[in-house]
Amino acid sequence: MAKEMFLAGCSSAAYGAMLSRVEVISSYPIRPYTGIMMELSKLVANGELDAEFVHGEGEHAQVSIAYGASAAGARAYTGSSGVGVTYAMECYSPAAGGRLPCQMAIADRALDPPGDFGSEHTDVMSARDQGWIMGWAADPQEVLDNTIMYFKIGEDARVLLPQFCCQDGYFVSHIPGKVSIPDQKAVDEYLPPFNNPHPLDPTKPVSHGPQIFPDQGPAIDLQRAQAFIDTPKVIEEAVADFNKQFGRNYDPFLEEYMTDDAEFVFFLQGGHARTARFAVNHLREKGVKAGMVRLRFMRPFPTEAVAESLSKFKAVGTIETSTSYGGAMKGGNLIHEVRSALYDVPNPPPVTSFMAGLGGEVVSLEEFYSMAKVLTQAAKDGKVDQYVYWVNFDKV
Amino acid sequence: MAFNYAEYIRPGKLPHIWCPGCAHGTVMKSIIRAIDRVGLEKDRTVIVSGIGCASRMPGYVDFNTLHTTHGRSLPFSTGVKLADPGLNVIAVAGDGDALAIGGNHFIHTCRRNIDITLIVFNNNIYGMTGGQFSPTTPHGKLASTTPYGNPDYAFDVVELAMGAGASYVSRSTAYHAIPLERQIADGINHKGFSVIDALCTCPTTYGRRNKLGSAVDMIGWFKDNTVGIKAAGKLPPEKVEGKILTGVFRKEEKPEYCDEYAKIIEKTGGRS
Ligand SMILES: Cc1ncc(C[n+]2csc(CCOP(=O)(O)OP(=O)(O)O)c2C)c(N)n1
Ligand code: SF4
Repeated sequence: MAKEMFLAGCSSAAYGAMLSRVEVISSYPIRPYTGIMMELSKLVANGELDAEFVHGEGEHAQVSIAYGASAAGARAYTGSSGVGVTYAMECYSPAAGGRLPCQMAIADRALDPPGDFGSEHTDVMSARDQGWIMGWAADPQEVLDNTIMYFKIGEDARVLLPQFCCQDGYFVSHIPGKVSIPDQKAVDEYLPPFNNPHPLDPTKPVSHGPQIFPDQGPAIDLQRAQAFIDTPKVIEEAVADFNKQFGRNYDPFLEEYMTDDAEFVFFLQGGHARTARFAVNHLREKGVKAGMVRLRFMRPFPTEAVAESLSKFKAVGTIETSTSYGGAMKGGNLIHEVRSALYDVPNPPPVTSFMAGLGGEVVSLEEFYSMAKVLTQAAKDGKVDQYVYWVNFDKV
Repeated sequence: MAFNYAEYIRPGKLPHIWCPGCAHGTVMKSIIRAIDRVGLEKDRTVIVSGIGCASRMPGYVDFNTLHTTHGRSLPFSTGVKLADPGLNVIAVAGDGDALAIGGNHFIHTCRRNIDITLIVFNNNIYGMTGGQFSPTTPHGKLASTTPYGNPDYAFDVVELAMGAGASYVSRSTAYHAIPLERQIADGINHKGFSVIDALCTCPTTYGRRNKLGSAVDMIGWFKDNTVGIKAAGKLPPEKVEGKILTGVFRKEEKPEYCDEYAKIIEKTGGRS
């Protein structure tokens, strides 16, 4: 029987990892991820989780340990935040290229300078093109569920890719909510033991990460790209199986809120969706037809699902929560993906972006209302005046 | 007359973040007095740190200061020193900062013998992140990540620095604040890389968990459990057994990196 607990996102990730029967855990402390490793170290020390727990001497070592463990055939689990995520950057492509489906929990955090502990998506968004599956949960329940689902997806023989299983620092990682903890037996039925098709094995030696010649590179890159093309189908299956096994109701790629008759939508990832739902409710009370679409997977980016969903509306505003300095849209990252996805749609809606939720700032209801004003106007005019609005600084 | 710290403190930056009873402040004061003792010019002095409770120290003092990334106080310091070898460069780091994530830089800076003085605020734990065991947590001790005792063995900072080639190596404690001050001054005056292992305390995340008593008890422990190396030579072995040795372990004249670098520039006819 599933049991209910009151957990913040960090503990929820740890429970998800325990239920996934992770075999090797590597850690290095950095807030807010520290909460995840602390919970796991307790579970291991108390004998509730039978896993090796290794404390690296930095994130670079930490992710390398996960790589090694995965190459040897273990289900490996690690994690970090902020500058810890970027410090380990060198290790991401080798893990993806080696097709090692280890999982890294991310409780996101702003990068330095000037040394801000708050939530921001820029840390791991900077690693989005390294070949890892990635997406954000919006609450502790989804953190636990994603942890299990990501292993299922990443370890699928058609995929074999590592995963960044992300949650917003503090907003999700440190605010407790009700979490239904599934039964171990049910999880075991859903998630079979990891079967690395090419483990390091002294009786049957293989090479991981050998040096290659330049002409061999493109073919290997294509394989990795192909894995991402094949992944959405695996995600659909894994989410459908999960919903069935655990009585959940996830859409594989997008959460739509009040979109049936919405004129415009906020498009975002992660925990700010919880405020967005309130904002939509309040706006509706005032007769404003707002809605929200929340992205559940940043990689693979669900191009078709996004195009189909967003083409229904008269205007779209992405809420960025990460930076792309000097980028095409001069602000964040989501808008690039959204505009690309809508490029071939006949009469696409105008899309603008909002820089909000940076450096740990809450995206407040007031901010949603001012964004709604911009989007109402855009829906009326059929165009946007700016690529990006810096909320509270621009004329928003 | 009592020492006037105000001259060296940035008033706008107080109160500091340290917990009541944390010994980092005592080490900071020893550093300030050492700088005063040597008579360094404020504007020609740079204090560089990584990240951690110890690494917050440069924020409070009125010199040129650089708060960098976790573990990297020494490479940043090396850049500063090479760009202007006339600057007095002092690096401060916690034990995690200096020896875990920054361990590689530590040994290579020792090897290079560049004229920088490093003070390791060695409190045996990752203080800032909540008491995880560090490379100097003694075997068997409790940390938030080792609730049943640390299976790892600790680095001895002094031996590590000597093995890696640092030319000035010493150890003192937050109890021995005056000898510590003297060693830091000595290290600053020494031409080459100086490592001062400053044993201090984290009552909040280490002391409490290991039942080491109050913050004052923890400082007192240093008094009863250390022996100066000079005295140790004259004492019977049972008086030295199990004690931590303090004092100056190495002070050696050795070619300094910036000087050697300048020589190569001269030899090849380049411009420095
Ligand atoms: C790359 C990176 N990883 C992790 C952290 C998180 N972090 C901040 S301080 C610290 C350790 C602090 O311990 P120590 O260096 O011993 O100094 P103390 O706080 O005990 O003075 C860690 C791991 C970080 N800032 N950057
Ligand atoms: S946590 Fe420990 S090291 Fe940090 S300020 Fe408090 S007592 Fe000092």
